[in-house]
Parts: sequence; structure tokens; C-alpha cells
Amino acid sequence: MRFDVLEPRSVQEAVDLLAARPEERRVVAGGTALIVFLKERAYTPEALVSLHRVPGLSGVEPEDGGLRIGAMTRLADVHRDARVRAECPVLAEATRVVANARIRAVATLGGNLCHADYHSDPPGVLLALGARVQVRGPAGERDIPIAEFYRDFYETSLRPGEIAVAIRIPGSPLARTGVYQRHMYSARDDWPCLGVTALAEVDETCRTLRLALAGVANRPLRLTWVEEQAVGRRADAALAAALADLAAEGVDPISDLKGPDWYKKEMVRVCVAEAIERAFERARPAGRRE
Amino acid sequence: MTRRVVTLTVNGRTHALELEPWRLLLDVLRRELKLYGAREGCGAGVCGACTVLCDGRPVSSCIMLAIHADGCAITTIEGLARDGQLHPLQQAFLEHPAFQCGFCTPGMIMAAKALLDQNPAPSDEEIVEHMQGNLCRCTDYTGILAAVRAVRDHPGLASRGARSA
Ligand SMILES: Cc1cc2nc3c(=O)[nH]c(=O)nc-3n(C[C@H](O)[C@H](O)[C@H](O)COP(=O)(O)OP(=O)(O)OC[C@H]3O[C@@H](n4cnc5c(N)ncnc54)[C@H](O)[C@@H]3O)c2cc1C
Repeated sequence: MRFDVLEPRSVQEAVDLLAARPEERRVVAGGTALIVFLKERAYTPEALVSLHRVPGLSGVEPEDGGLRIGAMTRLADVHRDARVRAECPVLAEATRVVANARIRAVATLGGNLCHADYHSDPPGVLLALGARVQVRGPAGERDIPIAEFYRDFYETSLRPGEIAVAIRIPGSPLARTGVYQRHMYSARDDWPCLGVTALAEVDETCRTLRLALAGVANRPLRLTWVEEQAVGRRADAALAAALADLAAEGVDPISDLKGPDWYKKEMVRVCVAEAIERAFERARPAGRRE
Repeated sequence: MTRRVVTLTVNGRTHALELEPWRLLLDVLRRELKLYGAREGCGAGVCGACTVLCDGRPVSSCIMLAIHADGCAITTIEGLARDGQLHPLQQAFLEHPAFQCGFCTPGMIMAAKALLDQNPAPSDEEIVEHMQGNLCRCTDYTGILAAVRAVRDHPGLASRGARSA
């Protein structure tokens, strides 16, 4: 494992360094995912472009009623942030359960998204929230909706020379009451077998449901066919169970070390029902608990 | 490839090291500074045998670029004892006992130190949650968790030794 490490002092310099030789260079943020891949020779770049000396890439700020989280914000600083906890507890939950305390102390939210691992915890939550990735590249700046950010296993739609600078989460009541839960096949600090995000708006009936799954496909999956069936129906356990059946029937999970396809399908049924029921419960206006 | 000067303050002593850019923190601690407490177990951030503190945060030094630790204060297991006096966690690990072969022990103790420095009164559940990222393959976890709880409950545990004598 041999490579140079370039240390730009600004986003523009980082973009220039990367764009000069996009095939031979690779961004490094915390390095927690990348170094493991380099050790295994999965990637063999000639140089890493480190963002660790670029100012202004970390921190959580309010933006247009929502939140803007710098790409270099460490996962531990995301889940401990008072704003994230208050306005987007579902993201606090999904970053708090990643890996172990050592990884969370170093790994960044931008690195987590750009690594594009299919059973990563935060991407499904951000997909359900309708978040966007703000990127800078040789052609300037653009926002990529999370729904379009993932291409395939470990592949994003970032173009050569592009760097993620922030994650933008729109303000929404859904963000305040959502549920994120993982189904674990082995130890608690491992990758999840499934990651389920359920966000709901409820009065007597279900007004909105958003549902996303990690660990079943090559990228986080939004279950729009289930979401549509929820609207206008009485938000109760029976509905949650019926929707979970639709979810399980509609997915075609990949088999991996966390479980075979048939097992994941059955666990989707169990976990989605539980997550939707919890999301209904949390979203119910006070005094209307069932 | 041009070497870089990386400045690390390890256990209170500052070193300016000339390093190849790809060097990892664990490798530098062991080969350059001859601090053998942190070990390479899995080499992939899973087992915690290489845990050291970087500006107070626990990190997997086996997957951390030394360049990324430039300017940081690093604490390793070798930095815990003072004047021949064991740190309360070291003393507690001995007394419970919380190890057999000892391979994971430096990482366990550094992980526990990171937790107690940040939160001196964690719940039992918080201790389990924090320590679950450090693996032990030969003794049982009950002794390890008991040692951490003992230091939480009696932070002055080690002063029973020569320091208080
Ligand atoms: C032992 C272990 C267990 C783990 N368990 C989990 C888990 O349970 N759940 C989970 O979700 N994740 C898990 N992870 C993955 C972890 O979340 C990622 O390693 C981490 O988030 C990556 O962030 P980083 O800052 O270290 O990125 P790096 O390792 O520095 O980079 C990762 C990738 O993203 C690219 N990149 C990084 N930042 C940018 C940027 N700003 N712009 C463009 N490209 C960029 C890099 O080029 C690289 O390809 C685990 C990792 C380990 C090592």
C-alpha cells in the first residue's frame, strides 16, 4: 500500500487536484472505509486528496427551515448535535448506531454517503427525508437528490473531479417523528442485515408515509408502492401489517453474509410492520394515542 | 514519494517524524516510537486492539493515516501509569481480573478511558454499548465490564497502591 497524500487548503484546490488526474486520485475524508479498501487493493490510486485541512466543510447549520450538514462532519458530531437531535432525531439515531465509537469518532457523513455501501445506515434515512448532496466540481456547483446519488454497489453519480461538500435536509414534520431501526444478524457493532426507515404524518388516518430500506438492493431503496397504499387509511397495527406484506412481496433481496434472500424477505415483513407501527405512534398528535 | 514531517505529541512528548505519506498511525507508534501496547488485530477497524486516543477521541490507529493525526495529542496505554502508579482502569483490570492473554487489554482500557473521560457516570447499558466495539477472544466480557463499572463507581481505585501509602 503506497500512495501520495495531497493536502489542499480549499475546496477549489481539492477539485483542481482531483480533476487533474481523476482516474489516479481519490478523495479521503476520515479514511475509515477507504484505508480498508486500499489495504485489500480494491483501489490502487497513485494519490489521495485529503480534505482534512480544508476549512468550512464541517458543522451543522440551519438552512431554509431544514439543516445543512458539512460533508466532513464526523458521525459522532452528527448524532450529538443539538439541532440534529431536535429537528431530525431519525438521523441522530441512524448515525449513532453506525459501527463502533472509534469509527464514529473519525468517519464523516460525506464519506459514509460517498462510500456507497448498500447496507449503510444513514443513506436510507436521507433518501426518505428527500435530502440532497451539494457537490463542487470542475463545472461548478450542483445538488444531487439522494434518490439519484446512488448508481450501484460502491458507485455514486459523482462526476470525475467532483467532491461532496454538504448534505441538505429539507425541513419537514416527518423528520421530527421518524423511526430508524436495524435488524441485526450478528453483533450490535456489525453492519446491519436490514435498515428500515419509516416516516409518517398521521391524523385519524395516515396522511403521508415514507419508507426506505437498506441491505436489500445495490443501493438504498424507497418503497413508493407501499407508501401510496398507506394514504387515507386508518393508521393502526392492521394497516402496518398489511403494508409490511406489500413491502415483503415487492422486494427481491440480495443474499449476503447477513442473510439469504428468503430470510431477508421475511425479516422485511417483520421489521417494516414494527417500524411503521412505531412511526404511526410517534406521529400521532398528543392525546390521540391508541 | 516525498516524506512529510508529521508532528505527534504522544503521551506528552512531542515528536517531529519524517514519514512516507501512506504510513498508518499504528505502524508509526510501534515502529518509530517503539510503543508496542497498541496491537494490530483485524487491521480493519473492527476489533479495537489498536485503540488509542487522538485528542481524547478513541480511534482505530490501524486504519488512520499518520498525516491525519498531525498536530494531535495521542495517548496510548503506555501513557496511563504515573510515577510507577497504575491508572485506576489498569488497577481494576488486574483486580477483577479482566484479561487472560492480554492481547486486547490495551485497547479495552483505552476504550474505557475514552468513555469515562467523556462521561464519568455512564449507565451499565452505556458501558456495554461503548465497549461492544472492542473484541476479546479468550476471557469473558463480564470481568471487563465489572472493571469498568468499578472505576465508574470508585474513581480513586488505584490510589490504594503506593500513591496513597
Ligand atoms: C469496522 C467498520 C464497521 C462499519 N459498520 C458500519 C455500519 O454498521 N453502518 C454504516 O453505515 N457504516 C459502517 N461502516 C462504514 C463507515 O460508515 C464508513 O467507513 C465511513 O462512514 C466512511 O467515512 P470516512 O469519512 O471515513 O470516508 P473515507 O473512508 O475517507 O471515504 C470513503 C469513500 O468516499 C469517498 N469520499 C469521502 N469523502 C468524500 C467527499 N466529501 N466527496 C467525494 N468523495 C468522498 C472516498 O473517496 C472513498 O471512496 C463501518 C466501517 C468499518 C471500518
